[in-house]
Amino acid sequence: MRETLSHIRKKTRFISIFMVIFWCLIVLRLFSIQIQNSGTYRNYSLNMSHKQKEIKAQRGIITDRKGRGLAINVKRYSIGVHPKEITDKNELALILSKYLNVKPTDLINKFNTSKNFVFIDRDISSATADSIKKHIPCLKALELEENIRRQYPYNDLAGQTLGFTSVDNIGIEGLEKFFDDKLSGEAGFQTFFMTGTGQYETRPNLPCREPENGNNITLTLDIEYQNILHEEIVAAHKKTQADKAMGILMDPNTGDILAMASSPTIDPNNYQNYPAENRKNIPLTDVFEPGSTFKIFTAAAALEESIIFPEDTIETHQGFIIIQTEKIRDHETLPDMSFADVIRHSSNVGTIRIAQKLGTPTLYHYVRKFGFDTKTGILLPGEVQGIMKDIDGWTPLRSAQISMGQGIACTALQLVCGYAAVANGGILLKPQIVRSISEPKGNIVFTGRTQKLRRVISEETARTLRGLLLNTVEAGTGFKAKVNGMDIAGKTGTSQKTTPEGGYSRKDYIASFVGFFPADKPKLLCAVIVDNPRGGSYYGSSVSAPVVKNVFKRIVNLSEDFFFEETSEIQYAESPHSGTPRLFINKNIDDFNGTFTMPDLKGMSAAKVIQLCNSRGLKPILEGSGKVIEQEPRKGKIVNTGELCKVKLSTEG
Amino acid sequence: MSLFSKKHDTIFLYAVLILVAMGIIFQFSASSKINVSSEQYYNPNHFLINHLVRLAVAILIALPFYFIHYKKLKKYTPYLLFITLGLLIFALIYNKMHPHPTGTARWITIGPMTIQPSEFAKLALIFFIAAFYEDFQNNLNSFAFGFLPVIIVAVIYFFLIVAGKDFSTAGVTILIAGIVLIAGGAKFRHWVWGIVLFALSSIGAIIIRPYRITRIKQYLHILKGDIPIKEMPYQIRHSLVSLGNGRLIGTGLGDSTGKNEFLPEPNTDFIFSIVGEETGFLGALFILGLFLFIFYRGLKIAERSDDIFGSLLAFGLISSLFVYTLLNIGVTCGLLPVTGLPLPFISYGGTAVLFNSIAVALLLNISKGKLNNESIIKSRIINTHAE
Repeated sequence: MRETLSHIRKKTRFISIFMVIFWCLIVLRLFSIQIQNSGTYRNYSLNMSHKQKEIKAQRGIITDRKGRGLAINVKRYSIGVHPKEITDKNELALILSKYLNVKPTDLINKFNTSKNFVFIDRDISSATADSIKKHIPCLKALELEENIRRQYPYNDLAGQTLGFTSVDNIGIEGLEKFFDDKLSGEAGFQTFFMTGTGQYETRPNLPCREPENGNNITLTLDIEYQNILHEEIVAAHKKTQADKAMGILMDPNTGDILAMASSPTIDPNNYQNYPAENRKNIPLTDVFEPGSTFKIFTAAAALEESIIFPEDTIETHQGFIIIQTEKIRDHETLPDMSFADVIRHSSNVGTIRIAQKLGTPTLYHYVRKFGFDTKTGILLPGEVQGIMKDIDGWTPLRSAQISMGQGIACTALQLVCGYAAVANGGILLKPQIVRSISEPKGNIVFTGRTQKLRRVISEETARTLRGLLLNTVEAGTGFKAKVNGMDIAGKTGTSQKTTPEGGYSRKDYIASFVGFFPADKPKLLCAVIVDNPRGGSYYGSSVSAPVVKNVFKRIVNLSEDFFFEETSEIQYAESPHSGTPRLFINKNIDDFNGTFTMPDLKGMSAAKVIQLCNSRGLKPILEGSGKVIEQEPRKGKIVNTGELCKVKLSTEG
Repeated sequence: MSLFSKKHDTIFLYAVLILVAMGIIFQFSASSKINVSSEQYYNPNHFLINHLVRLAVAILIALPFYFIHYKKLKKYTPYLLFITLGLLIFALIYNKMHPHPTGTARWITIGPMTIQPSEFAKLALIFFIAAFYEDFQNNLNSFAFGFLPVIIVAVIYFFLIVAGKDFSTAGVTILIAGIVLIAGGAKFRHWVWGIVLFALSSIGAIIIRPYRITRIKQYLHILKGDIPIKEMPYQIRHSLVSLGNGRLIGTGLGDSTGKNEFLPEPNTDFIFSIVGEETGFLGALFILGLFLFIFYRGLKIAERSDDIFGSLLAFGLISSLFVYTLLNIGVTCGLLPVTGLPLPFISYGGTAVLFNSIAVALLLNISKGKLNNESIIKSRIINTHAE
């Protein structure tokens, strides 16, 4: 018995040794896994369980110069269903159809699918999404996904300038494209814990990075001006049945583009519905022969070089001139006339005669100096430099043609910049579209300061030219742009379109007008170009000049502030405190015959009220002193010229 | 203390209790995720509560095995043998009538309880071998009367368990039977037959299912470590990744990555991977150390027993616990091919908990028996000195 027990003891120890050896193997093995090679396993563990998800940065917004949002971001939702989770398809379809503007039967058709998930609508507002969340049973079957979408609240206003973004929020046209890297920002990320079945969970202390939102851009555009120019351009386009029409409104003193419109238009909110042609920002992507509007540059060169003076007589050869066997005519036979009248009547022969006196090299020099054949460098995509022969190609005939705006092609923007130099006293400015770019927190990272490129002509020459252009509107070809009381200066242009064969068309024209006002100290410059007007007059004077006139009129009508920036000029004959003061105003705009809407006068000074009344033809009656606290007629009322305008002023509040 | 007299091996009991306590903690951690994500439970404490209930029930059932002296229990060996045989056969018939979705036939469901008769079969077999060798000491040299009867009973059990498609338990049962046979004094020449039988059945198993060769090849690659992590079989891959992620000190209690539905069976077969991940190499070593210590104490209990039955029974039981431990951890660290064996005291599983409790109760019982005869030991020592 005892022998057996000791025998068993030996055997058990023998067996146990094997077990302990295996135990040691396990320890070694664990050491290898948990200490020696733990790095590989740990990385594998992290990779399989930590998943990074991108957090999209918010795209910067684009505003006009007064901070009104032109391109903004809105929260939209996609809604979809998991058909297998739906308990009562009919009921859900009925309720959903109330919110989504879809027929219940269509919804049921969508529900009857073998797929695990179907989208119902990929673009619903957050309000709709909220009410769906609140009122719909069986939420488990529904899935609402938030997406940030780009929206352009003013629809087709400045559509080509703003451009648009793709579904992935990448700028593909216009400013959205040009400033995409500034607007897009930098996406952040969040790390999620992913379980073995693929469910995402948030856990503390996982790496993450906040997204950096894109920079905001403030433009030089004023959306109210843009609206005016846009409406006028679209109306002109429609009325003349032209191929297209375009316009630019600029502050000639700063180079700020206040409005820029092209027709046909495009709504960036649903750009897919428009032909690709409409995307072009034609004032800077399309070239045309400027025609007579160009003559001002020939005149500028001649004046600056003191080759001629406004009173000098120019021979007009009974309305035609022959150069290199080519006969160039005036549109009407005019007698010999002064240089001023050459511009006023837009005489081709007269202009050519001046150009001949000037000589080809000098003319070429000035054309280039005015910025033609060079991109203006505006911060927008797609700008072209125009078409102009090198000086070697300027034969006497071409030189003569160019002096009157033929044989040279430019963009509307180049033309506007050239005119701006005349309007602002001789300085060529770089056109500005971006006023500032600021970081989301507000730090300004870029300011679009006025950039003076060079002096092109002297202030004296510029003043003379403005006089000539004022004359053109007052008593010349531009008379259709005339508004009593507004000193509008400008020049018309009617050029034949070139045909594909290289000649000039007899029936296709480009009608243009470039004008600015007030003529002596211009604040606004506007160019309107109508490409191929049909069914009636095709002259710049009758097609484009009235458009510019309407634009100017409406802008002045829109904002009483427009003239009031320099109130110091107003002089009172008597103290404003005693009765009705008499007032001397330099400008008396009497073109506002008829009716208009009464503006809000509250807070205005007496001087402003009087000036406003004068400009609108109202008779002001003032009571008290200080700022306006009451007004009659009230704001928004339709009033007629000649009515009384009573205001009560007070120094308090 | 009046109920549990100090006569038993208290240190052994404490070591086991520490393991049981750790088991409760890791049961909670390892099952927290599968509880919540499964619609069936949706209660983070589902497995924890069940585990505690099973522990309580198991301890209650194990109490008689502690209080009734093991020598008195010996006479119930034939009943135990027949009851477990009956249960095994019943389980087969029962599962024929109520096919289990996974195709296995190892459980019997009684109300809320499921029992796995193979665990009892193991207990019965150990009892049987220990009792047989005490009663038939003189037959040991005979193949036909000393070896064959035991082998026949073991093989019957083996095939009944195999018929329930529980190959690993069948294998372990035969292994433990073999261990007890060797300890009991089976002659090596008898064992040649056993080895031949084992070799033949291995070859047979491969011929029936040739894909097992690729399995074995794959397993050898993992052992050598020349296979990229992502090409490892799913279970081993996630087990090793969990262990490796634990590094020296672990990710911290409750912070395992693997338990988030990466690791299969995180609270049963692969619970040791969670332990290794949350407590690192040090924690794993601590648990392994505890098991080794328990094995050592169990071995001592077996050696101190002054009768063949007690000695062999204690050795069979402690070997069974330790073999399960080694096989389970060997699988989780890729040393062994995947089997479905639980880790004693830590894994979830009612029948295993019951077997472990009974085993511990019996071991304490046997240790107690030795201490009762303290005087005899002393006299024996004196005698030895006198000689």
